[in-house]
Amino acid sequence: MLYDFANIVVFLVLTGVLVFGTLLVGRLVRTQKPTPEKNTIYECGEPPFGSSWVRYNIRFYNIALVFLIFDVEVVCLFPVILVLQHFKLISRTLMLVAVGEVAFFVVVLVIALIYAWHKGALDWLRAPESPYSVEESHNPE
Amino acid sequence: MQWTSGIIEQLPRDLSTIAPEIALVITILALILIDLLMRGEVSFSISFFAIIGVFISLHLLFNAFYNPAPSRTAFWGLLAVDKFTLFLKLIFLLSTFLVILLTLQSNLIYPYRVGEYYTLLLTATMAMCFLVSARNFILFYLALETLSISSYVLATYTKRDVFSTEAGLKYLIYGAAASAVMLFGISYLYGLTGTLDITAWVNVLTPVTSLTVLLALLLVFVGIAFKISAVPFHFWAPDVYQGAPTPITAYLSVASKIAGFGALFRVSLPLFTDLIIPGSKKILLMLGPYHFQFATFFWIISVITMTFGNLVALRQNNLKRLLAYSSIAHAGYILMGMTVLDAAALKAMLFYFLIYMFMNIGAFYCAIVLENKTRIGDITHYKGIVNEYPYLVVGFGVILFSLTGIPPFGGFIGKYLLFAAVVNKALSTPHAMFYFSLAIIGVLNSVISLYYYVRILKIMVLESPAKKIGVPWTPVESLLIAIFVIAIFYLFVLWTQPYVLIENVVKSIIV
Repeated sequence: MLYDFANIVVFLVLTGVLVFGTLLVGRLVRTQKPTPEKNTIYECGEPPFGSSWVRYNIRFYNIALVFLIFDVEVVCLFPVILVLQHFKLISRTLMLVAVGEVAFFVVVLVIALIYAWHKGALDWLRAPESPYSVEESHNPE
Repeated sequence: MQWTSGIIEQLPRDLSTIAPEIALVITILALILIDLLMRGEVSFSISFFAIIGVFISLHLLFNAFYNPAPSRTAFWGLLAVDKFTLFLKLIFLLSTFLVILLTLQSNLIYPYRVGEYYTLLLTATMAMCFLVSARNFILFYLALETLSISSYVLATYTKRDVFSTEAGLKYLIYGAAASAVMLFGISYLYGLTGTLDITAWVNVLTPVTSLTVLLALLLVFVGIAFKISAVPFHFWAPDVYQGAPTPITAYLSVASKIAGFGALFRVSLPLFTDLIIPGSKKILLMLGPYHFQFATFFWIISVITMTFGNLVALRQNNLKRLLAYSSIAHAGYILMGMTVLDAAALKAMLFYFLIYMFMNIGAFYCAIVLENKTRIGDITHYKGIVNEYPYLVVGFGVILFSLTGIPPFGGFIGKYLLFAAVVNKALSTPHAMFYFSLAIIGVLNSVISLYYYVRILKIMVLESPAKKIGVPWTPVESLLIAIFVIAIFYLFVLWTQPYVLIENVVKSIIV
């Protein structure tokens, strides 16, 4: 039992040696001729400008979440379709039950899509504030 | 394709065992659509539909309770459908109903965005129902995450409020860390047992692998301890409880916490030795040497949790923060039952859940009323409030004394049963001092807690008021406070009725 842990210890030591060893060897071997050009941040060859601490637009996250609805749908439907072929061979009722379940799943996702659409998650240019925002900012402690 | 045989016959029966959850899911979908179709002021109608959904679910639950399913598992062993699970689901649905009532009274939930609010609330409830019935780690984790993610959003529901935003962010970060640790533990258990069965760890608890199994269980416990806010995984609780909208705080402190305990029971069910019939001597034989180690572990967690919660609560001035520490302390009291690990303790814990639900949601209801009247959460501003709102202070007094565990209130029975279980165990094992010391620490903690509960009442009753508040008292408030007070007295006077039910429930999980 304890001997098994020796493998892990050897593995840990090797990991450390590999990571820090390569860094150390690189430091010893490489030439060092820094220029202002070389010291700048790499931004795909462009000269960098501005601070890197900019805020991303929150809309990207909205779009990503909506994308997930479709993505998850496809991922979850593939295995079902593969199994359906087997089900069809066993019994027709079984296949219909499975199709019904999948249909329910799709309906749930469609409701999610309608929700996102209705709430304006699909509009890139959105009306700035809801009419209720005044009430909302007036917030008791 | 062997499992497909008999699927057609089995499916309707299995689906009928999760009828309460199906009702909740349909309610959730309906709520989203109603919210989208109706414009303008929908607050009342949405709450109305949510309450109807909860009641249909409760009705189906009672149906299942009185017509028990022939098998105790459904969906090829994925779900447990015994009465024990149904009892926990009953507590979740009742507390959801009470939280909806609280929401209707709270000024913090804006009337035009309630569609999402109730959707998330019922989603969390549905996830809890699956969490306590899961017998498979994948479903267990899925339910836990559904519950957590809904709670994160609910905690930050009043998004323009900086405290609420802080609460949601802290909850999310702590929750993600805890659930990652738990997932790591689950992966160990899966590696050791080769199955995702939630209690399969018993079979690999041999002297050779015990260290790894215990470590993996500890990691799984981290995720559960986060939900029940046991020290040292409680750091999120005070900030989240203070910042979240108060009905959600009540929900997190009651339903979410009890769901955590339900999950703990599911994983640790083989530890309750007298729930195992003599036929399966194998489990007892395997657990034998380790049983006391588990008890010691829970002893330490329980003592730290209750002592820490009570000592820190002494210095709190914000009412919701104080109740947060008090609910940490209550998690410690309930964990005393996990030290004893027998059927009596399980019954005591289940009874404690019942009374704790009414006490704690009641306490947060009083916090909501005080918030609505004064717009301040600091208890030093409630001086002499008894002159203006006598019903509130009397009702709050009953709830606070019940939380302390003083005789004429229901909290006493809850604590009495827990302490009785501990002392009984002490009298029947060689480790008498181990259990006696736990009981003594528990009693001392109750004494400490009396101070900070009564301090609130002292400020409200004995000190002279600064100025009149002038917000009128409404009959609905009297009615709601009466519900909680009556429930607390009912559970003191007629405690045997629910206790008989609980005995029945515990009998149903003897394996």
